[in-house]
Amino acid sequence: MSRGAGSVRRLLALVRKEFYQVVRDPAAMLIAFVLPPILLFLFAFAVSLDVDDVSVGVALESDSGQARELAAAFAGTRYLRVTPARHRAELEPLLVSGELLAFAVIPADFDARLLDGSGKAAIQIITDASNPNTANFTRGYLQGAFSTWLAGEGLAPPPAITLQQRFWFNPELESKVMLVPGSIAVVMTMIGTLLTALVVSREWERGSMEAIMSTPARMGEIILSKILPYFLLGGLAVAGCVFLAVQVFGVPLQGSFLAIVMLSCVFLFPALGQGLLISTMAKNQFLASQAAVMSGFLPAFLLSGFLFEIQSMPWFIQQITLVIPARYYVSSLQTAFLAGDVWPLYLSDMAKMVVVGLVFFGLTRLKAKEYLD
Amino acid sequence: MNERLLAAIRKEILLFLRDPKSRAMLLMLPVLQVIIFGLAATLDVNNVELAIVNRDSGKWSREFIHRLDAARFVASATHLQSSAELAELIETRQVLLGLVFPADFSRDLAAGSPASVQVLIDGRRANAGQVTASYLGSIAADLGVELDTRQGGAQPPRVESRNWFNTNLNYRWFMVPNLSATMSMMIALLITALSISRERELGTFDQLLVSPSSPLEIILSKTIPAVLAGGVVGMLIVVVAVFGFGIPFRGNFWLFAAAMLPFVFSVVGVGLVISSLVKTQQQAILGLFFTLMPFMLISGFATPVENMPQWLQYVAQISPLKHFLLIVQGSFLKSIPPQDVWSNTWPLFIIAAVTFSSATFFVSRRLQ
Amino acid sequence: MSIEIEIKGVSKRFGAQPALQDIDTRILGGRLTGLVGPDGAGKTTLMRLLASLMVPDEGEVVLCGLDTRSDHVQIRDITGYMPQRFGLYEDLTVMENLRLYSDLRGLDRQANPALFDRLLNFTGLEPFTGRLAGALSGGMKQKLGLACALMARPKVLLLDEPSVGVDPVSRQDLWQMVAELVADGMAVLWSTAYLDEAERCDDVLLLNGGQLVYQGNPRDLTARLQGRSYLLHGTGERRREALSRALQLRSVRDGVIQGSAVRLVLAEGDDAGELGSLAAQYSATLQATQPRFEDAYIDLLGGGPGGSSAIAEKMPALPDSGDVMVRCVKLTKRFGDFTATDSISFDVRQGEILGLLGPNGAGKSTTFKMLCGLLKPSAGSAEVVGLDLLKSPARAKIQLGYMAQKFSLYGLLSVQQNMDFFAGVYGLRRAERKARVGEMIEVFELEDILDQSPEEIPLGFKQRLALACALMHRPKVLFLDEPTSGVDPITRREFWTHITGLVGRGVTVMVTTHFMDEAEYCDRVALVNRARLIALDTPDGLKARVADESLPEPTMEDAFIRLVERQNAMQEQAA
Repeated sequence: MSRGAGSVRRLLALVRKEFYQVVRDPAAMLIAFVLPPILLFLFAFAVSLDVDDVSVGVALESDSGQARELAAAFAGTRYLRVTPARHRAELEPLLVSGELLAFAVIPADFDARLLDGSGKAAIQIITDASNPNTANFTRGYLQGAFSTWLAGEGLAPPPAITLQQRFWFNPELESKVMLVPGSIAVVMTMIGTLLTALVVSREWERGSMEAIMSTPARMGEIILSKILPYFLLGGLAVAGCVFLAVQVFGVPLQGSFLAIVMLSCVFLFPALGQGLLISTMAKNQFLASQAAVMSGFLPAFLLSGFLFEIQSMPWFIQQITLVIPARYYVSSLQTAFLAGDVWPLYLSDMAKMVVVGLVFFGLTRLKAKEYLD
Repeated sequence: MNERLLAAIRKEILLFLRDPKSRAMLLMLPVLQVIIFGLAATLDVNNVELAIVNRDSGKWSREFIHRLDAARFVASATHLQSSAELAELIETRQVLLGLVFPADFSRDLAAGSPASVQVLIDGRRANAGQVTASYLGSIAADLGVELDTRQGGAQPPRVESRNWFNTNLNYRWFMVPNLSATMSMMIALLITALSISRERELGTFDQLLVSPSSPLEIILSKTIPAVLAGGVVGMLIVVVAVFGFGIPFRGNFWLFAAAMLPFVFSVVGVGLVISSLVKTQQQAILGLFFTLMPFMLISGFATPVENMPQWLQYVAQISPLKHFLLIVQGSFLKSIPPQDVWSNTWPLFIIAAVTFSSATFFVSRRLQ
Repeated sequence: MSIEIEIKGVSKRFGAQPALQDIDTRILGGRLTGLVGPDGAGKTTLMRLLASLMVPDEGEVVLCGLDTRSDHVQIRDITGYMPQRFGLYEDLTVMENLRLYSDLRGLDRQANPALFDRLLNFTGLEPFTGRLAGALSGGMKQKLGLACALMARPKVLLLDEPSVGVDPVSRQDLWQMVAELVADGMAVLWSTAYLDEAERCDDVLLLNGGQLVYQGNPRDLTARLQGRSYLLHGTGERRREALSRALQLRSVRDGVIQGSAVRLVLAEGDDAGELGSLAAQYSATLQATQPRFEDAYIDLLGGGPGGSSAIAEKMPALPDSGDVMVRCVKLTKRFGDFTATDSISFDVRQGEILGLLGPNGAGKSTTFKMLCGLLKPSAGSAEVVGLDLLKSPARAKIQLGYMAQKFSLYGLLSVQQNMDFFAGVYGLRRAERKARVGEMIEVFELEDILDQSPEEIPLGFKQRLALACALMHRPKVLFLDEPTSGVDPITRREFWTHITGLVGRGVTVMVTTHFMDEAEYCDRVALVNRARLIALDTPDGLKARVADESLPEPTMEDAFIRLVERQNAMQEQAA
């Protein structure tokens, strides 16, 4: 038999072994098939940046008809759940206890202020800024409701400059539509990095690595055999995630399934590379899992740009995100789901993932030798 | 306290302090978290890249763009010739949004009729897009008002807005105090969940079991050090938040500290349940992972509980973190009154009672 | 006979620590070569060098003309290597493990069925082909590991401690299998802590501190001891005391208990005069006997430890009441449908050593765990010092000391902190704790290593520390669960010196072990097989049960194997 054929056969045997191990390992099954639905579920429902039903207060300190009309207008506004009061002092403790996110004060001299004409403030909006993001949105809603009322009463000229906003790709502005594709990246990082790191370090722990290294199997074959089954597993997990995202969580899929498959395959390259690198350095499962969570999961979760804007981060953290493969994957996945196939973007993201992957694999090859020491 | 329990607690603390891995964890976790959550995880929007297609040659669009360039949230504004170019930049994610000024923009304004600017926003980044759009809205409104006044019109009534508790809307003031809760939860969970499985792997658990220590003593010896560690780490973050980040602590510190105790206890109960259900450290880590993540996500750590669907808000009540986060946020920025602390503390006592009794049940069952 | 392995001037260091120094030797085909030596002598390092898993710092290793430095690819084709703990994939079945290794070795797939049949037949694993390797018993894992290593009919077979933690029946099976391979011309290197195995090898390599101190036929080494080995018969109940006193004699180099007799080795050039007068004091008879390899091994490594146990001397003597200290009545444990222990009853009296022996998976660990309160019996009861372990666990547990396999110390705590903890967890108050720990430090000579981790200290000290921790509260009953598994003979001797000393002070001991020479130390041995107690007798009594014309003087191992096989045969007949 030629050397090449022997090598292929050894590789197949190792792949088959790895496959059996994956299928029989409850941890692998848990990560590949239980984690994805949980994560997608959490991102579809629990993590929501959409402020829908905002609890606000309205302190109606004036008895005038216009003031009452304004209070009624607030109460009738969609998105707002209004707690009425006669004085601001009644609402302040509710803001402190967190029951209200903001309140509007319609002052006693409301009518006079309204007609003043020198740009005096007619009402006051007080927000609970302990969560600044929510405060921004809540203030926006209250301000919007006030402007609409003013215009409706003819009390203010129509604004000289209007902005015609159009949100492309996500006109309803649902956060789950962008978070669910992002969480697929987190799932794939777990499969690629955490699982691989665990399986290889387990071989060291149990001594089977020593046994296998004493056979004609080459290190390159052993490494390759670790990758192929996880490619398959990753592929299955992605297919499952896409199905869940589209069918259960109602995320539109504008791009092609093919593009998602391609992107995922390319993404697995650096993710697996990272897992292998961790496992060649940390030879026990405990250390390997810690390293994988610290360097794989957390960055994919927080620094990949799916939850927090990369551009708003400090400069040095932005530089770190450059080597996080999930960053590129998230960018392309969100596009594939929401915008449709944008090949120039895909290609540039894939190229970057490949570069990061090459670095990880190069380091792994340097670290993993044919000898034990 | 009896001698056996003291010895076991002493051992537990020594084990933790002497283990380089645990020490690294104790050091790494807070540092990483403060860096990531304190600096990186922000929903503030700045450094925005945007593009402009200006078909108008008049002064008003120039004035608008001038103000835009001067705005703090803008990193760079690219000038383009056509909407097609703009579409491509948005598609390939090079800019967050684009403004298109129509050809008659300045003419319309000069004539006293309203003019409009088209704003095209990348919906894949909906949150940043919305925030930026509101910034653009205030630039447009200010400019519009100036225009009106110059043309002799009356100024429309305005809204005065105040941001209580966090005047400058600093996102860090929200994130960093939260860490005092999540960090102490993580540490307390990690210590309890790992300590039993580690002893089991090394075989020392059998040594404990053949000693005269009762199951309750063994549980307490695992609990007390974890509660201590969780509390210490939580307080450490409070110190860092106040002195490092300059975040005000306006509430009653002693009330806050008292509420932390049932919080950490309830978390340790969860850790004990995990450790009694798993065999190895690896399984313990996975178990932790599957509990920590949902806990954090449904508790209002990153996004408010109010944004979740109603039924999920009911589910969130079982998370100790959800209740304690309200106390944290209240104590730091709001000077929350005692009755509000209490209304968020009694649920913690109930949760702690439930997790502890189930932990005692599960651990004693494992002891037989 | 061909020279299969040449080791020329090989040295290997790990950091500054030399693991092997200047080793020169040859290993021949068609011969079984044993590799022995104390812990840390460099046995595993040598194995790994031969398997080309490591390269030497100096010198060269040549297997069948191939250098491990340049030709490791070809070398891996012709060697079979079984690492410690067998290196199996525990979540693959027996058959899947075999197929994996067949493919890795590039064997002809057409011939697989025949090859697998032969290997399965050879190893007796046919009934278990579909079972996960992780669910096999230690003995079966060992055989599967061997089958995998043998897959490609290697020219060189390297077995690293294949018999650790494996019962005598399985060890005998393995031995026979390897003997067949050697007969076919294979070169086999077998590393072991069992000296009776080494004795039966064709050649032995004896490593000590990284140096090769003996190579050649074990009989030649044994022959050096001619005329120096004696048996002291007729000391009866006082044999342990006699041994202890003999070991304090200047002319005695080494000694052990062998059933009812005491085996003694004289120092080189000394005569039996001192021993003769000792024998007279006990009105015992001194009889010259054939030396064993173990005698020579201990002699070469500088003799055994002294006979007195400082810790035993410190322990207050317990009044000899003759009470039953451990009692189990119809002790039964079921896990689901499987009965691990089936109504076992026996008593252990004060001052007795009871050995609990049995094949892997026979139920002896389960029995042991119920006796010290680690498992709850499904039926029956277990009592320690008259206290039921279920009804008054705390009061019963304070009476017992426990030493687990692999010592089970806290690696992250220092030696001092380990002792403080164990003293505290048994409820010793501050002043008492200080006094006890101080006493242990003194008698076990732990002064210099107090701040080190138990993981850094030599095995002998680790063993002392484990014993110190178990004795901190002066227990009346000592439970020892395979206390010496994988430990070399000299360290084990020291351990048994302490145990026999403690028994002399009235302590009762329960011990499980796979070492048959340790079973000889016991007053009585309980043999457990297939969940049942099949024999309970003195070591000599057990031997007598299996003696016949073909085997007039059976060893403890013979007794073990025959009794187990007898019961298996009876059960199969009944079924």
